[in-house]
Amino acid sequence: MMPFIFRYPISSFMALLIHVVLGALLVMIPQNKVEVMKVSLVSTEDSVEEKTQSENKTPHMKTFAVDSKQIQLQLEKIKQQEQKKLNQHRQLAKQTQAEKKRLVEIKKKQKIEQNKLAAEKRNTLNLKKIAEKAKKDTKLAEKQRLVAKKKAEEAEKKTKKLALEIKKRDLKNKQLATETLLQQEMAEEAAQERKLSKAKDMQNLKEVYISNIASTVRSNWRTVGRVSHKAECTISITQTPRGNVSSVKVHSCNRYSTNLFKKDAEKAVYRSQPLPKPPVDELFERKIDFIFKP
Amino acid sequence: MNICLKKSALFLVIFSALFLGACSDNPKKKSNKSLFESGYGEGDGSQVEVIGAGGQGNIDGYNVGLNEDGSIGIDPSELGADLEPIIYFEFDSYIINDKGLSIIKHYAEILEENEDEAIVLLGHTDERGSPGYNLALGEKRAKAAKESFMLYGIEDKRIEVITLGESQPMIEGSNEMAWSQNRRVEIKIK
Amino acid sequence: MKKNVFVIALFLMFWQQLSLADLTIEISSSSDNALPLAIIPFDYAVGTKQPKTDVAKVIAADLFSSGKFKVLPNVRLPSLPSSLGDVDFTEWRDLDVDNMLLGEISMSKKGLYNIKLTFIDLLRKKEVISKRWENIYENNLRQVAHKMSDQIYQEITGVRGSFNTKIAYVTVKKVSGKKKYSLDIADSDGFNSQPLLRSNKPIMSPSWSPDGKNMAYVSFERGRSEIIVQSLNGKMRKVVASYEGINGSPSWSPDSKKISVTLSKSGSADVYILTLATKKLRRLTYNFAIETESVWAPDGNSLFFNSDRRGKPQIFQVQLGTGAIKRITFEGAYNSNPAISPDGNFLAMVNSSGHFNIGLLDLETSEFNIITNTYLDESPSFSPNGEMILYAMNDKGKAKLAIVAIGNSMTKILSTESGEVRAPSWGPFID
Repeated sequence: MMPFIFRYPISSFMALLIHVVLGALLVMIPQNKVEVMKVSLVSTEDSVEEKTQSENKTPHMKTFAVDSKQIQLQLEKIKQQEQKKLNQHRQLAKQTQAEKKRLVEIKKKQKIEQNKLAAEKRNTLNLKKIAEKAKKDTKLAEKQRLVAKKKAEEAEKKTKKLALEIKKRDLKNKQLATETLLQQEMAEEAAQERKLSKAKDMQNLKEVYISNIASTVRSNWRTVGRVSHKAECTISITQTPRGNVSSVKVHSCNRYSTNLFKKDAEKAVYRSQPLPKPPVDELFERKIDFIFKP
Repeated sequence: MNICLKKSALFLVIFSALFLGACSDNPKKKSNKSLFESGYGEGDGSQVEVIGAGGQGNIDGYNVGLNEDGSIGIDPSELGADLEPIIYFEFDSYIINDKGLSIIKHYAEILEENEDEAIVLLGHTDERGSPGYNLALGEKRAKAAKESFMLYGIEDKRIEVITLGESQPMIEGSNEMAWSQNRRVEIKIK
Repeated sequence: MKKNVFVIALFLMFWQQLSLADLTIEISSSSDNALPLAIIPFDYAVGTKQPKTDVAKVIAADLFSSGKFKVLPNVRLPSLPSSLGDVDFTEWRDLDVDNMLLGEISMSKKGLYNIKLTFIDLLRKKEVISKRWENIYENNLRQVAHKMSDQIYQEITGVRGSFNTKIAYVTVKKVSGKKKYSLDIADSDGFNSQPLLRSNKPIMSPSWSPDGKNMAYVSFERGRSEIIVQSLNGKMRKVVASYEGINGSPSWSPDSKKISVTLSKSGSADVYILTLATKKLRRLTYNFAIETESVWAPDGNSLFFNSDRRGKPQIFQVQLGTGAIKRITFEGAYNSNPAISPDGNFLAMVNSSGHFNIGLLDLETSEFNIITNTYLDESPSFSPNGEMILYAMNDKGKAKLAIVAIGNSMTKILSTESGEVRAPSWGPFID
């Protein structure tokens, strides 16, 4: 009983209020109305018992025949009222039931919403992390590239090359830098928009690394002999982690490649020492292969 | 004697004109040994000396003596300078212009009167272009002159043609002034 | 006879003083695209008499004149290593020097020179040429230097060098108002000049026989052009063509058995082939125009010559088998004096559209370029390796020779103090 009241305070209160009003009506209305009241007193819950009592008191009924008719009417009226209230009650109960259901549903929804939010929160965090990582990687690459570039520039200063040659090389470096930047930008975008995997990034960086080496060798190509512009060979380099060349193999040449071309290609590799460093250390390869065309 | 006089007359005409053209130094006494100068030589004969590349010992000289120097004494003022026996040409051309034709006509008439005389036509070019081609061009010029002489009635056998190409310029120098003087055919008595 | 001897003696006297001068050399331009090279001053063993010839200097001059090398000045050498083991490779890398030449000179027991030369590839860190010459006379040191230059040239360019070769040319000097002509030969750098023939009359168009034994040329010694073949040792001298008219432009067949010549005995100048042993003549061209300056293709199957049959001279090619004639040059109004490269791929000629320069035609691609920028250029002649062209030109009214390296603008000018030089011809390889 009590939990019910706590559970449905509005409904309980309403029920109590109805009983109090009915009691007050019994005291205040005339006699006949009192009987009705009496009857009504035992009504609701013990109405069956009341009935048997009234059956048992049937002689009395006769005596109060007119009265009983009135009472009968009253009773019916009350009964109708009672029915009405019951209906109201039922309606209420039904309503509370629906309300209860609605609440549960809302709670459920809230929970899903919360889960959703949490998931979203987690998602955005992940995205940020991925972006930062990518940025970090490219920054590192950039930094290393800058360091390598600085070193290369210093070396160049030292070698006091002819102005023309330096210009040429700078131009190539610039081209290389823009190329690298472009590739990095592309990699960045890819990371944010298409959530490229790191493996793919690494693959790109590796390609940049090898093309870096190839273009450095190309910029160090020099010949005073007659070489066909169609000459093409594969160069296989073995290098130390510091970019020093420990061996060069010029092979798989096409038919335009003379012995002089092969020799000069080999010299271009040695002239390129130290070879450019990889953007990230783990990309370092002891053995590098690329196709060389002057 | 008659022949001799005629010869002298022709000779004088040609050589005084040459001297005028070249503004020569004092005329000297003519040697009677040779009436006609070997015009295409410097008149001092010609020698060659053959030397082995090893440098040791000389092979006998290959000597071809030509005429001795023969100069003549005559007053150049007696003759017209505008008829010097030289025909001039444009660059890389062997076409004889009207001036050249009048010179050829003049000397053809003299040759008509001196039936025993023969002439040599010396073809020259300027220094430009290749020497081998210029040798042939010099001949083309001399041959063009020869044809003109023949048109004026001079027999083929009385005219010898020699080309010297660019090897003997009249005037040293690498400018149009010099070149225009060097593109020429000289008429010499044989 | 006595008179003759006297004349020769007299000639010798004044020519002696005239011909002491070698050709002087002047480099007119240089090339940007040259390989840096260090030549370390040679190491003279104790007791070695300093020779007059500085072998290192001769090699440096040879390589520099090719336009393919630039030699580091001695003051910039960071160290003076004496062997591969002494070399600090990084200091040479810093100077961008790719190659290094080391030399040791000592006296042999016979009092002659022993020379050891080592050429080092500083990139691949190894000796690529190592040569020893023993018991060398001082006079032959230049030849040793040229031989080393040839080897270095081959190592770097893949093509045999032609420094150890000879050139022929005609000098003209005025002695008391008279022109004196001399046919001379010299080393390819103009040193060691020697006369082959001296004459009062013009000498033209010398041409080396491919076997290197004889020279054919045009002489006017008898007043008109004649073709003469003379052995280099002077023991043989023959007039091989003395026809009426022109006898000019001799050129040797690749087998040295025939010469092509220009004769005008049948009217106009035409090209003939003269077989030297039989004196048999074969006429190649029949045209009233000028046909001259023929030169044999290296395969011996065709000749190039020039003809003005179209009004102005142009180069044509005649096939010996069929007699078919084809026009070869179309660039410019004037093309004459063809020279064919030893591989048969390039034709050089005198080209003019107003100026006279040497043009180079790639016979495979028909690409044409003017390769000289001097004045009144003529008489081109390929070096035996095909990498350079020797030609005659005019410098302020004076005839000089020049050598231009094909593929770069490097030009070397050869001249004599006392006269003019013309009609050059580059001799074959000396084996």
